[in-house]
Amino acid sequence: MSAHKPAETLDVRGIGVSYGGVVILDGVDLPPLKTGAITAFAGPNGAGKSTLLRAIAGMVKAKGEAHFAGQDLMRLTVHARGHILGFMPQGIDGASRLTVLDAIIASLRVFSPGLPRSTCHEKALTVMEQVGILDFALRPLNRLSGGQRQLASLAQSLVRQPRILLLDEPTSALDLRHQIEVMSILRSVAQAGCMVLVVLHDLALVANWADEVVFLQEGRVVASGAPPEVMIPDLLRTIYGVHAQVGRGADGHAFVTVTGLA
Amino acid sequence: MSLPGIPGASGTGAPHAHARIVSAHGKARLWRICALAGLVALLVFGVLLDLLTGPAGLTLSQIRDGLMGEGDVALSIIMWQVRLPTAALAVLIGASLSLAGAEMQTILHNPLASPFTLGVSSAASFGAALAIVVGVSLPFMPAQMAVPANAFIFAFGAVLLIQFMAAMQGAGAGGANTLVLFGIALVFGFNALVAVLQFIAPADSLQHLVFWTMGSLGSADGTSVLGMAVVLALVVPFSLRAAHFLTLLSLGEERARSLGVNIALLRFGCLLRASLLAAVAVAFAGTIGFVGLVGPHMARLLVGEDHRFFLPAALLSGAVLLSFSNIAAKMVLPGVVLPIGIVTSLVGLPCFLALLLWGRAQR
Repeated sequence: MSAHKPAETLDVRGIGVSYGGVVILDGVDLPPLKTGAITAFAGPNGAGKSTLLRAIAGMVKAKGEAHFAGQDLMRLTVHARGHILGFMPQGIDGASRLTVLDAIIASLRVFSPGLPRSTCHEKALTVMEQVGILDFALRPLNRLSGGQRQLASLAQSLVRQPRILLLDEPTSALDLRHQIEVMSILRSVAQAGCMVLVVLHDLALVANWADEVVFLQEGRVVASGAPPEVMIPDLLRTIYGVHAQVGRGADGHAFVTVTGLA
Repeated sequence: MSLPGIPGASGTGAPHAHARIVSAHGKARLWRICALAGLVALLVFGVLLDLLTGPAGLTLSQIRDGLMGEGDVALSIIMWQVRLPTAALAVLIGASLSLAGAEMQTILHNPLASPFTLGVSSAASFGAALAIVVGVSLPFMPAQMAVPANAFIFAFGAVLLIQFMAAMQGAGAGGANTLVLFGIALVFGFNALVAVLQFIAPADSLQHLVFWTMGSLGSADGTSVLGMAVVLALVVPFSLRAAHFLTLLSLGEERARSLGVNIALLRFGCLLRASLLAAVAVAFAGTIGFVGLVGPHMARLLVGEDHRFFLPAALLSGAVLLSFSNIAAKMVLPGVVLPIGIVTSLVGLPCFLALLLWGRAQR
């Protein structure tokens, strides 16, 4: 990643996913997604947000194309895709007895088996410090809370410095302070030239941190654009079935007020 | 050192904390290396003790003479044709079954997986039973090779079935559980077929078959030792090469795949290696239980889940277990060598329970 690289785009066309005859995503086209920006995917439960992210990441069988830097990501091997993409799934297995540090080093070594131990330590410790998990570097993953495991998983994804970072609800298990810290990290990663695609349920986080938002409903894109332009009461009522509006405080920060069911 | 784009990425924020963690991590690594060295030392001790024990009641000097080819010819025969091949085969088969179990437990994400869980040994038993009871074997196969050859063919057939199932499952969630269930179905299926053959077998065949299914190192010779050693030497480099991928797999299939691990390919390679090891081991020594299950658990408790250490530790643990089981098999009843499969089950069960309880206490 370099801050001075010209912006590249990811063109996603005709993504279709079905499970056992049930259509989850029905030929989804996305507006061009840019490096250097945070794009949030939002929508009600079952809208297909996570599935769309997983399809782009190659985690589910899907039809369609995702062109980035002259390559169709959907046609790459798992290993080749892993050099470009970093995907952080929502569920983190809590049974492993690997320490946080070992888990992060292992994710580095899969792609760079010959990386010297000192370099691995440096990279892993630096990213852990920045994610704020240095204190439990040597603790086994099965002794961490759900939120701590989520941060460890984020560090695992960041340490490889992917060009496209996909995160499925990375703040779902985090307290308020850590939610802001994680979004702040994502902002910095994007500013350095990475493309950040993130599924978020919290519309306040979307309004405050995303450069673009894509709303999905029943496997289709229903709206996309800059949050202030898209997140209007009519749309929120149509998608979520609630009376809600996005306001702004004196300091410019957005908040979402929900007044009842539509 | 800094990572671009992360706030405060100067890398100089907590140099003391970094140094402390690196030092503690280095100590943990040293402990793992010491644990491996300890297992090697225990194995050497076990092999020497194995050479010293036996129904013939030889003294140290007689053993030395036998190994050096001096003195009585009978001594030389006992050492070179009985004790040395048996001790070597115990080490190699223990290592093979345990390494196979370790890979299976990781790839199937199931601590109860072993070469026997997937029905490899049951299939081998059926193959052996066909040769022993019905006399069915490959054409032109020498009579003394019919039983191990049949055992290998059926074990490998079971492996191909499992590979077919794995390919059908792909890398989707729950694929590993389906494979374990399929393995259990194979166990019951082949055990039922063996029972049918036992039911119709004449008395002498039945005795041979029962003895074979108990597991024994009695057929150890240069051929079996060389065969097992070659298979192990072929498989180990590939296992170690997959160590980083297997380490990530201990975080769960979903996370490993998201970090760029090709689960389907890894599963194919693991099952192929594990099954090859198990099939050859069963072909030479019959069904020897518990080593493939207990060896990996011992290793995991000693060195953790970093597979660069875990796989060699599992290999050594299995070798140590079977070496000491072979000693026990010769010492339980004076003048009698018990089938080693009985000893591993008898010794393995309390060991396994102790490990489970210790493991729970550790967690």
